[in-house]
Amino acid sequence: MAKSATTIAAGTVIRGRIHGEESIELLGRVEGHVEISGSLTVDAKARADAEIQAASVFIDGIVVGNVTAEDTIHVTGKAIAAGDLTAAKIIVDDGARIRGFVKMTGAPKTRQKPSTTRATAPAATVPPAAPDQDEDEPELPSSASKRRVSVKKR
Amino acid sequence: MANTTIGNSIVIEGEITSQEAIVVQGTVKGKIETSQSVFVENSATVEADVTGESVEVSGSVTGNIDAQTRVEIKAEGSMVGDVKSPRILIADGARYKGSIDMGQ
Amino acid sequence: MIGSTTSIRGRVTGDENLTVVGSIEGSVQISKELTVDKQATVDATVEAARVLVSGQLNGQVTAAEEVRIDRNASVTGDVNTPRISIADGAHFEGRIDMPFDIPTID
Repeated sequence: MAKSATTIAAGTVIRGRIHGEESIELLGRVEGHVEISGSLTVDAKARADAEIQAASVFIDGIVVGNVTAEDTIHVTGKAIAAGDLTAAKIIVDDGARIRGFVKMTGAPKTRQKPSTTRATAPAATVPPAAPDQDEDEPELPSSASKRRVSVKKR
Repeated sequence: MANTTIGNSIVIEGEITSQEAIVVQGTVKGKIETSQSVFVENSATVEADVTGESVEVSGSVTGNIDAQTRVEIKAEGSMVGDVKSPRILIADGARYKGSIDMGQ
Repeated sequence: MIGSTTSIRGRVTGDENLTVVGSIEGSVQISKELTVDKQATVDATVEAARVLVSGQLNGQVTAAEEVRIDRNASVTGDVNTPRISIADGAHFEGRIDMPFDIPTID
């Protein structure tokens, strides 16, 4: 049942929990929780203040909340996404406004290192270090010759 | 069509507020409120108070209906709850339990 | 330009565009554009006006103007920039922080 049988029109606000086995096209507003096995389209003028879980999520409007998609999250150049985005594939168009942790769960196309660890756990990506540098302290310019992956604390 | 349609497999637990017609094919538990018509189709289960311009029930409604103009419970429809509407039509074959208030 | 057989460990600073084809470990601070080429690997804290990635970049990125992550790129790290694009096929993991206000609900 992949058809988008469900449409939430521009003048409609739904507060609560929405779940189902199909796709939803959102032109209005949703507040709460959306969990569907189909795809969710958040239209240019639509807004979802919600935790979202779907096969794919296409964001052309505003989403405030965490979004998890099995396949793809696409954030267009007009969209706002404030919240964590997790999907096998995430596409962000120029102009999009994003705030949150973005994580692609699909196989990375790296040639050497897997990048599947969170950026907040840099230790996992640090190769065998010189004996004197086990600490993961922030990198100083003068010690730049030591390889450290320095990421902002969240 | 600028309708809001709640598809077959969709379950909404919460509140729908709208300025458009609402077509329910799935399940809504909570509240439906619109200035336009509400259509509760064959496949639909509505456990909610419904407010609309007019309400047409072909599926199942448990809850009270408050309609501005008209309520129609179709032959295949069933409803448990009170109806407040100036006009009401209960088709032959429809199931209904509740009280009706048609105003003065 | 840092060629394909060149690898730098340390700190790179400059006021011009920089294209990395080889590798850098450490930090990069340039006032213009940093391009991480297809075969390049940058494990560094990066500060630049624009950061264009086709290769691999691991580290915190601050771009005053823009970050562009191409389809074969892989970026791991937190990104701070007013403008970003991530192409279909790219891999990214990290926090994105852009300066904007979430519109209020009217």
